[in-house]
Amino acid sequence: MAVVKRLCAAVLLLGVLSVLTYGLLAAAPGGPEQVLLGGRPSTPETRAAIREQYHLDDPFPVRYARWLGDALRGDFGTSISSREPVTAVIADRLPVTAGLAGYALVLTVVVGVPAGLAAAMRRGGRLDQGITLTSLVALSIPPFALSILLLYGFAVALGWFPVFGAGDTPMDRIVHLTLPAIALATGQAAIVVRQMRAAALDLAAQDFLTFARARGLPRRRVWVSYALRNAALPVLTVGGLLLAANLTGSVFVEQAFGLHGLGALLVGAVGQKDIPVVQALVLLGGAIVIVVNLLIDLAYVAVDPRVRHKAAAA
Amino acid sequence: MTSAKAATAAAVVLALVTACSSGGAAEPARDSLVWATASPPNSLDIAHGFNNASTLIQSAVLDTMLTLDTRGAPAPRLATEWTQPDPATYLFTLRKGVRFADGTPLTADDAAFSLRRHLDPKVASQAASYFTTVKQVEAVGADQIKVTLKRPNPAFLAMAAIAWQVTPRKLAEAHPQDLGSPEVGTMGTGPFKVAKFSLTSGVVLERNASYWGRPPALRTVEFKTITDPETLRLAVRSGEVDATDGLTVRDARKWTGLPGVRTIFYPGNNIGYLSLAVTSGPLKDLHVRRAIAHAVNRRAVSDLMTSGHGAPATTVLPAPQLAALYGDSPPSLPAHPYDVQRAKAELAMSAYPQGFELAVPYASTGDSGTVMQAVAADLAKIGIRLTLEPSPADQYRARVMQHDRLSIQYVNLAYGTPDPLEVLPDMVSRAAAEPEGFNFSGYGTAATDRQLDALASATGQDRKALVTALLTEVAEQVPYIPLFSTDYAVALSEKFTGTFTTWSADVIASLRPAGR
Amino acid sequence: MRAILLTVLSLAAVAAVAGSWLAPYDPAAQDLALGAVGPSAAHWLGTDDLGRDVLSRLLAGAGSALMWPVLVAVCTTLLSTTLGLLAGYRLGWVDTLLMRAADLAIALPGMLVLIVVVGVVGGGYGWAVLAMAVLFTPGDIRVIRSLTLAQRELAYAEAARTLGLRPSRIMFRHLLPNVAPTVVANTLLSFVAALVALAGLSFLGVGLPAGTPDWGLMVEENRGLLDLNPWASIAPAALITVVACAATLLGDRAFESLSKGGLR
Repeated sequence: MAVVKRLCAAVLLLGVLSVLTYGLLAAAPGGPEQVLLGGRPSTPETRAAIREQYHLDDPFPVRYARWLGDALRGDFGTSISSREPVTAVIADRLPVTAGLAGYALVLTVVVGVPAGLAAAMRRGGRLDQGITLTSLVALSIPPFALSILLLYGFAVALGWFPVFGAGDTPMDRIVHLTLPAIALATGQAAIVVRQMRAAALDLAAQDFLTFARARGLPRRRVWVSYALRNAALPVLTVGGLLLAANLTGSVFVEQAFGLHGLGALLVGAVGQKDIPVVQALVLLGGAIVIVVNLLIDLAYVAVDPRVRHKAAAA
Repeated sequence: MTSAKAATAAAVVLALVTACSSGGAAEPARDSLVWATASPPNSLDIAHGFNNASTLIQSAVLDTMLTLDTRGAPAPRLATEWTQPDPATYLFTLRKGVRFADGTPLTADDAAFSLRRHLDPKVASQAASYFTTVKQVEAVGADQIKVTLKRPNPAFLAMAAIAWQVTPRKLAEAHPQDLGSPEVGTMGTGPFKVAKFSLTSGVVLERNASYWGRPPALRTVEFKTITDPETLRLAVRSGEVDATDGLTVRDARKWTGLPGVRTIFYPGNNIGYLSLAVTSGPLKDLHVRRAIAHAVNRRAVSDLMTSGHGAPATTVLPAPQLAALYGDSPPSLPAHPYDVQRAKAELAMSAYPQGFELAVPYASTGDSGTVMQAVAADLAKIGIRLTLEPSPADQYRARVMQHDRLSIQYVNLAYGTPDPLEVLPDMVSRAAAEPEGFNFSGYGTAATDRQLDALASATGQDRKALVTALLTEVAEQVPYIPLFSTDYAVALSEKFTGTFTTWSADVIASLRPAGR
Repeated sequence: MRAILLTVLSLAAVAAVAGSWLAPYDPAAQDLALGAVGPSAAHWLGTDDLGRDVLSRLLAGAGSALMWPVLVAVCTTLLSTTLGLLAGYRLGWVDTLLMRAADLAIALPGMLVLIVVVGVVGGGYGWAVLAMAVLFTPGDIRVIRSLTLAQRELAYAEAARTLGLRPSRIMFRHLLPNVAPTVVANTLLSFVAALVALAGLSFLGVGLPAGTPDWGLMVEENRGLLDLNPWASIAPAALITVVACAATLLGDRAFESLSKGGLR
């Protein structure tokens, strides 16, 4: 039952998203014509042919219905600027963004969780203050400014990393994506640090930790086995949402590092009124967020026995 | 003509061959090169990818029937020669023994279809406007192609040199809409063939072993797209990119100092100008238009936008076109030099002696914001207050092409051919003053249309006289204020050298290791 | 520490309100002949490529750079606090409706929506502010709601109900002060997020018209001048970072001290 409800909500959300996007793009002045004509002088015959081919004279509901009908059959249309099937365009770019998002998430968790935990363990101490301050600063740096800083520092001045592109071989790709992933992960790691620290502190005040300490368990063991397990939930939520955000919102970093990912594709497609591409990207973005949310809930069940029992009881 | 102009004109014909690099000889000469473009090539077919990045790659893979020599005159390429049995007919003779990169022989039928397809509304070719005078294209015998025009058109050869790319008929016929896309690809007879075309990772070209001409020096050329200008510069600086045409001359100062990189400038076939909508409002008043022409400091605007790698424009024709038509003796045209006092005097004679306010739309990205800010500051000095109204570039373009609320627009257009016929009808014909046309001033009379008609088939001295008459009229009536022309720029690693001229299409084929 | 933070934010506020008067030059005045030059006695932070004084533009731009994020923060806070209290206190269909709506909004791919809206509609930050308020609110609603849920069961809330106080009075007079630390912290976080996101939109070239003195836009427009006058882009980027840091730190402190003083 819950699954059906969720599916309905998901379909509703995607439907609303697609109508809004399509409407917004169709209502804005200008259309794909200028892109198709290449901004060059054109003949009346060419213009008439384009209007007919792209059904530009049909009213909005008809155009949307046509798009929807095709989309439901799995045909997302052809990109106006590259004349490739939209699915091919996206499939071509997804690995770059997915690689970047995954890499950034790994960095975020690897740095954020231990740092947050360490800060909570030494609450109020030098270490805590240092970590908290650093994370606050990291949270406040605009990602594009950080990208430029990293570019100048590590790629140009030191020459440790390549300046642009995504690399071809897997190893090459890791090297290429390191700086972009750091730029992307910095702000997010700060969020995880804060979340982890807060969650762990909340727990520290609770009885079972006091009890565990009273039993004389070593401090580190108490923190790692109890606090980590219990703080995992909020951190998991944040991590999942960050992954979704990375897949759809790494555009600043992509732009600064010359990566041809989904974000850069979206910015270009919006500028060119490439409706099929924008539509598919927005739907993909919505679907990713929905799936991630679903996975988070499932993970909740796996991690937290209380939720598991409640679910079983319901 | 000023001496600066003469120098510019002379430089057009100067093939810029960079000298041997004096760098260490330890490194062996490389035979592969990475070229970065600022915008992604979207199609390897000129019918759907008539833009700098796409056409650059097309010209390395696809041969055109003819080409332009360093002076801009038509020269043989796939056609070894052509005759003109009558003023409206051309007969091209096809080069013998040419094969496409896959081994199939090139036929006259392929060549004929390659031109004919641009007339097909189903193809919706971006080059269609080049060939509006073409009536019929047919293969005659095994190696001749006959092109019949509706009326004589001296600009036809120049346009064909840019856009008559030859592909196999079979391929082009099967893919009217998506020839040249990453999925379909393309096939040509040029010095290179496409090894890989992806919108994400770029284009890789390989030397075409069966090329009919002199084999290119490079084995592979890889094209990458870097849209961010600063990232592009860093990529060239770090040596990850060997060459780029993606720099703007406005940033020239930042490029000329890069170690190991040579920045090459050559005259561009382009013109930046202000278009004044003459049909209504204050701009209808000739005195107002002349006042504006006197008030704009085009030297300052030119320096701002070109950093000295360009020149203030005196007329609406790009300098290379002037040079191609008039050689070293361009006509003297009426001018409106920068003079605030004369501007005020003109304005005093108009119906708006106290000045006026005018809403001016512009595109919020790109150069137009900068130019319009400078122009607005100049005009404020004589009491004309411009209200700058930004809109996103695509919306601005759509609005301008609809001729919606035109007032003062900044326009910068680049052209392909040395022929004024590519420019003038767009500027002063009444047909182009309609929506989707490029006559944003709305200027044009039955008389100018007659002159344009006469120009369309005039040759020799008549042609010069007609162009001079039109340019004089434009200068006197001021529907346009020419601002500046910009050099083109290429940044090239010192490990390589190449030939860059205004008209040369085979830039990629000319690239070679330095010292060879 | 707090004094420093407050000083930074007050200075920013002064610049935002009175920046145009404080500016030594007209922020739009051009000197094309001068172009972009580094700091000098006449121009403390140098000029940009149109020869405009960077310091003047920074001062004049403070208003635009800070006003929009403040607007986002205020809208988000008002909406999320009201709705969150309502959902958490009233429960029932109000709660269900609001939570479903929040679920929907949270599932929106945020940055994507922002780029599409601002890129397509264009014309300044107005739409971006609206879109951001819509995007930021649902998360905050959830937080406030869950806090309210906990508070409403506490003795003082029970007592207020028993006394027969009106629900609106209970919500805003009694519950609100107890969730205030979170509200304050959320407001400051929304401000920071909006500040950074708007600067990012300018970086992508969507949003404000060229030539508007605005910090985010200055970073982007003058990024190409790093060799000629690095201050033209570094100074606004640094200001954004400093203000954002100060606001985040202040939010953090405010949360801690208010929580201690509160009933929790």
